[in-house]
Formats: sequence, C-alpha cells, structure tokens
Amino acid sequence: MTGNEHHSNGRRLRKPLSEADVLAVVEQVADPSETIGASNDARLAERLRQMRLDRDALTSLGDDPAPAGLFAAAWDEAQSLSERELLIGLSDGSRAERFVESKVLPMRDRLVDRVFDRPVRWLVAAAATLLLMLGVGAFLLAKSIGSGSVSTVGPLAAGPEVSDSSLVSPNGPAAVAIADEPEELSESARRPTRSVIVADARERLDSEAVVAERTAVASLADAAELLASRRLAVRAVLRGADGAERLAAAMASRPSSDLLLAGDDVRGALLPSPIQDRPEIVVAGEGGSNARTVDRRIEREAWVVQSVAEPTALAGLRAALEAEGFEVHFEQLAEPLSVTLTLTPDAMAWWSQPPRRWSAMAPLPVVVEQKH
Amino acid sequence: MPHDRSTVDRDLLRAAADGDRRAVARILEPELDRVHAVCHRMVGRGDVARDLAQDTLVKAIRGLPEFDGRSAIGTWITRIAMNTCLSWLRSQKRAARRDEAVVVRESTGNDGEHTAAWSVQWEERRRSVASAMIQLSPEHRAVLVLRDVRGLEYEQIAEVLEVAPGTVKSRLFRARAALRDAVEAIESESADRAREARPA
Repeated sequence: MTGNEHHSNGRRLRKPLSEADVLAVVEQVADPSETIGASNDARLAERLRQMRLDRDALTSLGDDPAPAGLFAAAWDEAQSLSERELLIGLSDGSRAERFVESKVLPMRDRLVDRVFDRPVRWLVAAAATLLLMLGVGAFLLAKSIGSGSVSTVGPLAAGPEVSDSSLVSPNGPAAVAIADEPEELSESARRPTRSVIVADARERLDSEAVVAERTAVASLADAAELLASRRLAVRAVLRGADGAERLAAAMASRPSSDLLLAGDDVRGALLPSPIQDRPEIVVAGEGGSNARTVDRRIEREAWVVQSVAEPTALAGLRAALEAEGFEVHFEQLAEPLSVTLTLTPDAMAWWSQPPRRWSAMAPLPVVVEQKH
Repeated sequence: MPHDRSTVDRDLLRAAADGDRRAVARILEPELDRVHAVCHRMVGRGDVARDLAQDTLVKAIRGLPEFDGRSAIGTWITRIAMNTCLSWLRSQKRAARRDEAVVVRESTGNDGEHTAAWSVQWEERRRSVASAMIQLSPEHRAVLVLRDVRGLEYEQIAEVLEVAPGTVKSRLFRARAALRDAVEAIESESADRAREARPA
C-alpha cells in the first residue's frame, strides 16, 4: 500500500493530492506512479507530466550567459555615482549633515556675532562713527558760516584808502568788510550776513579797474565766455536811491541754481563803495555850445557775486535786475578779475548738486550806478 | 542546478567594502550569469535584461559595505535582482504586454545550439513556455524564476521574496498551474493557426 492510500469501510480510497505532492512530482522529487498510483486518473497524470516538461523547458531557458563587460560597466557606473555623491556631500550621512548645517546658519546671527564678538570690529565701528560725526559737524559748521539772506550782502572797500579795520563787519561774525559806507546803505549792509569771508582785501578788485576801460558786450553768449575768463562786469544803472536794497531784492527774487544770485547761492560781495561822487556833464544842446555842468551825483558801488558762466544764468541776472528798476549793461573788463572765491558748503558738496550745477563758477562784479 | 555560495571570506568582504575592485569582482563575478538569467527570465528581453542586470550589480557594489554576511551572497544579490526586475515590471506593465511577440522571439534567441539536440516539439515547448512566462503575474513569474531558473530552495525563495516558506509553496503551486494553463492556451492557439494555414 502506498502512502496516498487508506482504507475506509473495507474499501481502498485514494487521498487527494496536496500542493506538496504536485510540486514533488513536477520537480521530480517524487515518483509520479507512486504519487498518482493506479488510480487511472489519466487526465491528472498527463497534466502533471506536462507541468514537469514545462519546468524542464523553463530551466533550460535560464542558461544564457551574462554579456561581456557587464561587471566593468557596472563598476564604472557605481564609481560615477559615488563621485557625484561625494561632490554634493551625500556620500555618507555625517558629512552630509555637517554640510547642510554649515549652509543653514542664519546670516543675521553670524553678522551680529562678528561685530560684537571681536574687539577689532568694535574699534572699526567706533572709528567710522567718529569720522561720520566729524563730517557732519564740518558740514554744519560750514553751513552755519554761510547761512543768511541775500540782503546782507554789502559792498566791500578796497583801494589804498581802505584800512585793515574795515574788514571787520559790524554786522556779525562774518567778516564782510565795509569801507566808506554811505549812510543809505548802512541798514542793508548791517543785516546779519550769510555770505562770505573774504580772504584778502588786497586781492579784491580795484574799483577803478572795474569801472574804467569797459566796453559793451554784444550778446549773452559772448558775456558768458568773458565771465568764464573773469573779464565780465555788469553795470546796473538806477535812477534813484536804494541801489543796495534793490540789488539784494533782485538776488532774493531769483533763487536760480545756476545764477547764484539769491538765497544760499550768493557767495559774496566785495569791491569798494562808493567809488566817487563826480559831476555829470550833460549835453544840453547841439554843437556843444550849450553844454553845461549839472550838479548830479552819481554813486557807484561794486558788488561781486559768483555765477555760472552760462548765458542762461546771465539772462536770469539781467531779468532780476531789470525787474528792480535797473538798466543792465554787460561790459568787458580790460583785465581779468583777480579775486578769491569763497569756499562755501555748496562748493564743498558740489557733487551732491544736480549735474547741471557742476559748471564752473566765476566772480562777476556788479557795479551799481545810482543817479540822483 | 545552480549553486549558491553560502559564505564569503570576511577579508574579501572588508576589502570590497574599502573599494578594492578586485575583491568586488571576486565576489560578484561568479553571480553574473545567474543575475543575468534571472533578469532575462523575469523580463523576457535581452536588452532590458542586460540593463537590469547592470543595475543589480551597481546596487550590489554600492551595497557591499552594508552586506553583513548573514545570508548567502547569492541569495542577497538575487534579492536585489528580483526587486530590480519587479520594480521594472510594475513600471512597464502595459509595455510588457505590448512587446509580447518580441519577447517570444528574443527568448529563444540562442536556440541554434539546442535545435540540433532537441526535437522540434521541444523547441516549440520552450517557445511556448517563454511566451507563457510573460503572461504570468510578476509574483508567479518571480517564484518560478527563483525556483527553476535560479534554483533556490524554498527557504531561500522565502528570504528573497520576504514571505513565509509556506507561502512560497502555495504560490509556486499556483504559478505552475498558471504556467500550464498559459502554455496550453498558446499551444491551442498555435494549433488553430496551423489548421487555418493548412490547405483544405
């Protein structure tokens, strides 16, 4: 009796095949005849036989060898992958962790640490702060020296009769020198000055040189060229008094950035005043027979402002003066004007001005003639 | 029946873990044919089998430092190969069915040397079995490959597939039955075509 048979009620019965039995037959571990027995189950026997052949066929399919160079290709690829991971720091966990840690530190904290942890950086910061404060202080000092209004500009004395004491202005700390000041100008000249400290009175313009030997200038373009070479003067004729006040009003009325006549742009005023009082010869009739001397006083004062050497600036100057009742003439000087320009906060901070104000400045004498 | 090396020399493993190419080659080169065979039977296409075999080896090379030697090197690398193939099969499920005809033709590409020794019927059987394998589910295919192509024991198959040994037996039983049904279907279809082609 085989293992797959058992008796029940005297009859020999076949136990059903288990999975293990089938597998054993298919894999030729067990004898099919014993497993299946003489049950005459031909269909089952045939199926198992076919499954056995299937297995044999499948086993025979697995004999194909690996292609040549398979290991070398795999090795190269593995090395390439490892190198790539090494480059980005992921070859092992610890290195990658350190790498990431160094990348994610907040920049703000690091900057704070750098500044506050190192004494050297404290010193650098303190020095920078000191320099900044000095710069601001110098700017404010220069600004305070130059502060004031245009009406404070007063005529300065020059010439042999001017004494050194005349350089001391009675109007305030700024040394606007006044010499032989006429009575009618004293009020305006004594207002708190904002304009300039004139460096050296001897460098100033000789009033006679300004007044004498002048020739008329044809156009504003020519005037601008002459101004650039310091050979331009302005003669402002006024019939009446208050020339200084009107000049100051003209300056104040035109705060032009390039004219620099008014407000903070007024750099200074100098020149002696008055030049002289002289009788005016008036031609009363033709042929000169009726010519006679009329006792008319002509007072002349010379002022200097700084102006951009451009026609537009001069046009602005002329318009401002004409608006105050002056008759304006641009005239050419025989010799270049020798005068020291004032160093003002605006001049120091020229780079902070708009580019159009980067033009060269030149001193421009304004000779005010008052006819009484 | 393919053998399975149970142990690998510790010094050799250590050298391989340190990147010694010769040590790595000594460990893996004996497995190349079997790895390739497993991949070929699993996917049925020579070109894909080569790529998958190479992927398997790359993973093995990079994984050698973590190989603790508790399992046989053959079982370990077969598990890598099987996982690689199963992943590919899952991603290529539709494409694999579409390329069935190509698979049958390629699977018997080395028939020449066998044709002389085996009968025409046997060759047809091999073709039918190769085609039927492609029609099986990846799980059935895997257990058949591991058992019949790779020649692993039930316990080893269980280790590779990470299932219980009892599960391996029942899955193998169903896989063999499924293979038989698939082969019968293919042979029946082939016979029908032959009858239709035969002149009346």
